[in-house]
Amino acid sequence: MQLNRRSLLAAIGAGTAAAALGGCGTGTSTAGSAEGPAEGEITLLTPIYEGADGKTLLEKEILGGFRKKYPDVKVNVDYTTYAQLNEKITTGLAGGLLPDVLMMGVGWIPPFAAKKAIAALPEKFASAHDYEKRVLEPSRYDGKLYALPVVLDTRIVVYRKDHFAEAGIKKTPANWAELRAVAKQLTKNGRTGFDPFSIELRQCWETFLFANGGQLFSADGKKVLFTDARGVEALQFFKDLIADGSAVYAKKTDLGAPTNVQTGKSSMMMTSSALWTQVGQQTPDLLKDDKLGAFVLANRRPAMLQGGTLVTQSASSKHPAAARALVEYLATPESILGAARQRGSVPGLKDLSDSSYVKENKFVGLSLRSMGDACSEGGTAAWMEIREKIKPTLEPAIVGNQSAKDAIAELGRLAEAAIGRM
Amino acid sequence: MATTELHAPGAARKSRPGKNGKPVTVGRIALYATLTVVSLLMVVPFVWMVLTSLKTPVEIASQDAGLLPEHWEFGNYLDALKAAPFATYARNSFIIAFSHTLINVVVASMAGYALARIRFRGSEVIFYLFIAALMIPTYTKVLPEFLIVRFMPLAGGNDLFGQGGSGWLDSWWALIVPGAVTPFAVFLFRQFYLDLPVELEEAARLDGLGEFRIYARIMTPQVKPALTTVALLTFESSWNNFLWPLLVTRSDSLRVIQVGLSVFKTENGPQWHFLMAGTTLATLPMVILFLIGQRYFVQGFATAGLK
Amino acid sequence: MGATSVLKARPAPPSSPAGNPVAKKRAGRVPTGPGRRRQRAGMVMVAPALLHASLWIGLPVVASVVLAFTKYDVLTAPQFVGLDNFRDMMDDAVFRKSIVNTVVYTFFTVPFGMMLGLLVALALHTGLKARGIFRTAVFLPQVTATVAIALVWLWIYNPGNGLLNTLLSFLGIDGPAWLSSTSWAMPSVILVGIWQGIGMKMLIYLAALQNLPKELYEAASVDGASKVRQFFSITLPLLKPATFFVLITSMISAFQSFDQIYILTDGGPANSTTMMTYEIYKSAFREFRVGYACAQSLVLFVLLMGFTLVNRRIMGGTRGHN
Repeated sequence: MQLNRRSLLAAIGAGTAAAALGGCGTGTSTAGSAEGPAEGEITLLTPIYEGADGKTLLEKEILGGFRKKYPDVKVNVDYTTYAQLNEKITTGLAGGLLPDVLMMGVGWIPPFAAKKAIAALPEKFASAHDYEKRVLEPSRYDGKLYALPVVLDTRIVVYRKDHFAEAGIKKTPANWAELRAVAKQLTKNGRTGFDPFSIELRQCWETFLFANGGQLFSADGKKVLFTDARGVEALQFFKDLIADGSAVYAKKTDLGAPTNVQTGKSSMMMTSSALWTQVGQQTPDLLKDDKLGAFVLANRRPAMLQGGTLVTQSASSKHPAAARALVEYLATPESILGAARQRGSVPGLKDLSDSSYVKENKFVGLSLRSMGDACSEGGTAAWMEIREKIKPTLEPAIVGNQSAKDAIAELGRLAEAAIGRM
Repeated sequence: MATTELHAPGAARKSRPGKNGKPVTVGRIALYATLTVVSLLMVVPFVWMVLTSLKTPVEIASQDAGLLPEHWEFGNYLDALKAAPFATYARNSFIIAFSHTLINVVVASMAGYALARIRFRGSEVIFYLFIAALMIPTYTKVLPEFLIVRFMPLAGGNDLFGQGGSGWLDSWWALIVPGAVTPFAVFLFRQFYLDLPVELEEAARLDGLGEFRIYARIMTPQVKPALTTVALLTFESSWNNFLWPLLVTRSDSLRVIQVGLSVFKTENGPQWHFLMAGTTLATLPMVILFLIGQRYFVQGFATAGLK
Repeated sequence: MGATSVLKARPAPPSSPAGNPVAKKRAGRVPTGPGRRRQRAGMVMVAPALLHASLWIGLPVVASVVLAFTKYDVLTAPQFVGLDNFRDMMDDAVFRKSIVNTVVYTFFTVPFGMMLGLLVALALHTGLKARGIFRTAVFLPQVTATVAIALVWLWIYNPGNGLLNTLLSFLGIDGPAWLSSTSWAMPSVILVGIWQGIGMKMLIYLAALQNLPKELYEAASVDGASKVRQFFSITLPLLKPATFFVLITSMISAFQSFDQIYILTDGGPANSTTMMTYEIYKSAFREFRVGYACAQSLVLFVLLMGFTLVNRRIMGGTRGHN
């Protein structure tokens, strides 16, 4: 039974709230055409370009260029934080005031596209720049393009070259058996060989799942595929490392704190491509002495988890042509290079491999070269719900006695229930 | 020893007039010692906050750095202030916190007084409703509240049915009105008014004073500590509010200090030195306010003693 | 009956030695002879606050109750689903865990926090020199934004080079990984909760102590009652309205603690610190299950109501022994 405006009015018996709730589902009412001339006043919601530097970058440089190209469009910027992006989007959607152009994380496109909250982009945007095919996968739903990447963050393994040399290890591990052996060998004197846990457990397990040749969901997003042996093995691998003593869950470091490879407490760790910038600020000597190396995790196949920030367009924009122009402009090489440099992220275009930023930042360079191995989370309309369940459901297998098999099975049940609710 | 001291408000009061009248006893020393330890425990995180605000990122990250900064980087404060228009943010926060405090003290004390001293039809039920209102978590209220603001009739381009515009969003109304009166303050005032002796009121009534005057002239001066408490707590929570101002504003010119500070909590982790410098600066006005506020505390205490 | 009169929290007439005329008079508080004008004045005075609360809290509550019986993901209009959300909740092991955690957290933070708050208030109520500094120190956690202060605690609890473990290592103790251990995470969070709450409790007790009539203490001293006796037979009973207030508000705020969890543990490890408000937040704003979040809120509300009623009973119980 569909609650319409009138029945809610009766239920609540108060004009304002009824109007408020009734307004919830009316996002698509006044959308105009995207084909006309780009003009009008639009709003951009962004969790990036933070601080005075980011503001200068966005409003002076990027939007300055945009204004020259589209003098009839006025852009109002609504800055938020990543942590509160959901709240901003939720309230905006409920109030029928979703910003014309907004930025989202990887994995968010299918849920929003499935509910028609965001509008599809012309396919020609996909070939406007030199994208690696995989880079645009998280931007697609049902074959259509809905978003363009602004900045990417990848999950890679960073290791201490000096620890490796000291232990006489010549090459980086090419599969899990080697990884486990190397980790064990490097574990000594209170130092752990490998720290997979200082990134979000969800993303860590996903990277291992993909490296093990596994998949999260079927192509249509309706079936759970991670419950097979490959998903269980990925989780079991963490348990094996812990049993070996070469990984310790409690020794993970908090976001922004000096990481275990920086302090030398671990010889290898799962980390984000943004670590390079952090090391440059916190422990610049490590870069100067060339002590840090990086490689892409591999078992049955190499896999690098690709996250990041995508720019998309609301389906209810009153000035869709202007919104579309802004989406396009924010994803041009010039715009994304500035954004990537500000936050140490990967600019996801092959055209930019020769830029000085990519050449100087070795983690970003490796990520850009390995884009063919990139995998992304999401892929189902129920992703918003499932993504929240992964860490709390898998953690008991790591800190407690639960078996990897049971934890994965439980996660599978929760994911199926979530998909069933769609 | 300390315990007997602890339980002796009356005795302590007697000792107040003579400044150094009280001889130094073992109990008193123990009391000071205990209080010092407790205060230190409360203050340690702030000391660390201030020290961190004066370090370089390299030093913060370093494993073997001492507790004190090697070089006192006062420049962190200047750089932090440059990261966002903090003067505007602080002004906005002040306007909001000040309005909230003023409205809350007046409206909630009136309600608290009525609920405590006047028995009228439904007063009991109303009191329970205020307590129940306290129990609603922020995250339950925030979405409906946002919708009320957004669909506010005849505001921000909205028609009579709240459609068409954006209501109170991105305006001072949205920042000030929804949080202006708290059930917490109503409850607190009621509890304080309950405690006043009935003679005061009866004498005033015999003098022919109206109910509103009894509230304003006779009873409210008796609960000065409660006024101070509510004022302090309201100002403080309003000053530290983050989520609501972020949700209902869009323009930078309406943003508040806590939103400004969130600039330093990036996706890749906090910029500790700036965040701590900014937080120290944001906390300072609250500390000063408390230092001033508690003087009125003591005053209320002294005048009560005269009567 | 007894219970309701305690909610009005009229101070119980203290027994001898404090059973003097002043105390007796204070007990008969609400004046007789209602008078219509007075009643109307009462209504007028309560009206602004009531209207405000009806619009900004009442209406959202009504909306939430309605939404609790719907499936609402913000993207499409709410759909009536009957009791589905409540049925889902029965299968939600994490939400059940969060209820237990919330109760445990409340059970430890509230009584300890109240006791400490009262003790500090009593200590600072004496004519100490430098009490202003002590007061400010204790109140400091209250005036700083939780988000910033929780970040500092993150550093204190850091197992590697955090303050706590550094101090413990001086004593030769190898401290645990506080926030990533399933057995230590909850106590660590509770400690932060107590630490942060003392200031507010102290402030209210301090304000209440200043309103106590000193005649009672003088009379009691004349009667030769010991300080301890005075505390239990005068101070504590007269503090009852304040205590009731502190108890109810502390309990409610313990039930709603969110920022600490959000920053310190994210509900983990293995859901050992997740709380009801945190689950409500996650359902509504991360999973876009607003209807379900409203149903969870309803459970929280009913639980809190239940605890408040129980507390009222308990407060009623202590009356008798004075």
